[in-house]
Amino acid sequence: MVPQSLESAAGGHVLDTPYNEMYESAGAPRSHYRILQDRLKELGTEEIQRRQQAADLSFLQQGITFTVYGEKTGTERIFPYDVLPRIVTAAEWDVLARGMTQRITALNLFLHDLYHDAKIIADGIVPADLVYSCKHYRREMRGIDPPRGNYLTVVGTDLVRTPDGRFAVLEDNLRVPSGVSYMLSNRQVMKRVFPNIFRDYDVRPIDHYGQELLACLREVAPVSQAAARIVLLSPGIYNSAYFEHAFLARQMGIQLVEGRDLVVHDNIVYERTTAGLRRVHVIYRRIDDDFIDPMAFREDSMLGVPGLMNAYRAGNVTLANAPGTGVADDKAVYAYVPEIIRYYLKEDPIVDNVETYLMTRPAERDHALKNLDKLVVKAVGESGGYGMLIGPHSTQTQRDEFREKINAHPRNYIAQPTLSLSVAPCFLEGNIEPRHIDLRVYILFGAHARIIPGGLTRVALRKGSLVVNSSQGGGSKDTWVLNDSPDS
Amino acid sequence: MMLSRVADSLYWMSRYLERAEHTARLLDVQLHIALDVAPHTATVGWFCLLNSLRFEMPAEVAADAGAVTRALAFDPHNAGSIVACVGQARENARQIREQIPSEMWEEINNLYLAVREMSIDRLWQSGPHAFFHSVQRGAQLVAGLSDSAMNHGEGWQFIRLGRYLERAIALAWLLDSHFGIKGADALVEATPSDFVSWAGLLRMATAYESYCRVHTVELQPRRILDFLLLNVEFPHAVHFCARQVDKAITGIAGWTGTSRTAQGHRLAGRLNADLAYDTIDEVLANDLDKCLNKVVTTLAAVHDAVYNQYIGYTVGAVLQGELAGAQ
Repeated sequence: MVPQSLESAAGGHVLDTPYNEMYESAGAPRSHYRILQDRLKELGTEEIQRRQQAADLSFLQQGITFTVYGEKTGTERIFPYDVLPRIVTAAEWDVLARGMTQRITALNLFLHDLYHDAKIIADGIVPADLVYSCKHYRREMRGIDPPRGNYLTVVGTDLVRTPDGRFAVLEDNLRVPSGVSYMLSNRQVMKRVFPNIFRDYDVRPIDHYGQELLACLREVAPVSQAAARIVLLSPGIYNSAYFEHAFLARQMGIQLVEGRDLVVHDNIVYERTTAGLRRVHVIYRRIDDDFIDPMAFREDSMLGVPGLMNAYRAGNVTLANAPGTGVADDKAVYAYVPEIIRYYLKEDPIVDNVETYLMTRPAERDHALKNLDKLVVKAVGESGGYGMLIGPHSTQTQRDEFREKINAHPRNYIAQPTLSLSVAPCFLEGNIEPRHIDLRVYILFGAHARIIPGGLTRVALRKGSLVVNSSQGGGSKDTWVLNDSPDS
Repeated sequence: MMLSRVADSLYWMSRYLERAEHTARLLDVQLHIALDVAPHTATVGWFCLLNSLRFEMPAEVAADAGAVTRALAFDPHNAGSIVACVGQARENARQIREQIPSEMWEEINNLYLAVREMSIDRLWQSGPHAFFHSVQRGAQLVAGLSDSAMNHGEGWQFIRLGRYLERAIALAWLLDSHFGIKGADALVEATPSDFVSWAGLLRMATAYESYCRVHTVELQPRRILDFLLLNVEFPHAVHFCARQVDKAITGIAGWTGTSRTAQGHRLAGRLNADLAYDTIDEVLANDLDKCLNKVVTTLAAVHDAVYNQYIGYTVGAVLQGELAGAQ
């Protein structure tokens, strides 16, 4: 049975009533959720519970787990998974897809400009000190021309739905976005657990992600596409995302390598095999800029490949994503993305940003410091939900601490209104309850943009919580993008 | 063709497991023998065991069963101890978990957990035989799984190479220390008092029953040496191991397109041929010491050659080779 509580908003604080993904008003599901509600009623709680257990078991058996180190038994835990799908209509997706294509196109042009003539700075659109003070700006990238002018091959953009029902971009992940393996395995499990409900909906497939990614990597190769040898560079087994690295390498049928498997000689990159050296042309790297080449960046890095940046500069190898893309997902630079889109594309942004106060602007900083209890403050260089102050859930001590930090280093912080993220029904310990969610969409860009119709819907599993990051008690659910509205 | 790093991990995983199994068996047999013989004989036995593992201990503790067992089984700072070897085997397997059957990984992990839980105090309480037996069985299970659950491709050849190269060296050292300590007298007919130690040697090579089936229970040193050195059918004989090393190297050469004149290939082939055509009389006439020494140095050279050819090669050498090949 679907309890009444499903139709009420989660949490009891001062925020606006969140957008409810499933219900238009009490007892009235949105048309594209009607079939799901009927099916869930037919199944009943016990049966849903049984299927949730089957899903959990499936994740465990496939080894889609986190290993918890330091425990004798080598405990493995699954990434919490909610069996109820999140459904996105064709019309909603159409706006998102166009918006994301526009955004990645503009950001790519922005990066090219920053590392060449920096016209956008000369024209006064983005302040110079903002760009050059960003720790992810890489001088080593100036004047380099990556194949097809492509800096961003894989992007994961986090979107939230605001109370008025519109999607807004919360942040872009332009360096090494992760989580796509969960998107793909969630779908696999979902098709096994709820085959009938899945069949009732006309859901767009996402299984071709690996092929599309490989195609993009080929398109940015420095040599002919057919001859290109492509590898995935991982930091190795101790990295928490190693499962995903191995998973994607398998999905694409390419070799997973570590830094020590690669050598650079005369600016050519090779992998060491038992039959000698084999040239590598494209590296899908899952290692941060800082660690890819101890000769160019952090010299204490054991994970990288000495000389890799020289080979890259010489145009003999493609790194995807390019080094230095982090300057465009800096949380302060983010505030300028709408202007960046207008500047390069002469278009208005299709999907909005979330309102953002820059602490470098005195008026906005004063406003923020007066309203710390209502705002979210984020450190510009952090991700994964770290270095954050959530005003309405904070203590006076925490606010004082952030006030000091902001005054000391205004460039390092931004503030945003505390967003009332939309809620979706989740199956939690035998009950269906609303929880806050967001959406990470994966955008691939080679010769052109490719957007996989789906994404990773992240769930804040704790009641009332607004933090969806997996490192902070978040879970995920399958995301269905429909071909058409089911009742049309 | 596979990544050098992966080949390296497979090879060492296999070598370390073989080493752990061998050490466990030696300790198991010697602790058993020490119950049956006079204190002096037991002391000689412990010296002999340490010598066969090329492990040095201060003379005052070298005959102390407790101290030796602790050092060889549980001392994490001794790179050859069981706990260190199993740990290294697991670490290597962990690096390539995606490349080996999951059953294999699970057994290595189980072995590791069991070894790590054991301590010298608990060993004496629960009986050392059960523990050393379980270590041997764990390593044998992994070896069996590699044969039955894994593709017999290039990676499997590296596992096979590691196992038999390690075993051949361990056997050569074992024979060297047993026949070396007993000297020339060792080769005359065994006296009844020697029976325990000759049976011990055979048991240390899992050869007691196999030997008896061929030569009956009349334990003659010359026959024992013949059996453990030149037999080609028994898996813990030096010749059998050398032949497996040769086959593994031939297999790897096939997968990687290595020339048959490559160093490792020639050395392994020649060692196998020597052992195939030698007789025990010739070996003894030419000095057993020399023969065993040649086995060990040749295998060490094979290891180096494999490393230079497939794993630790310098970039310059390979590129020069390619240029020369292209001309």
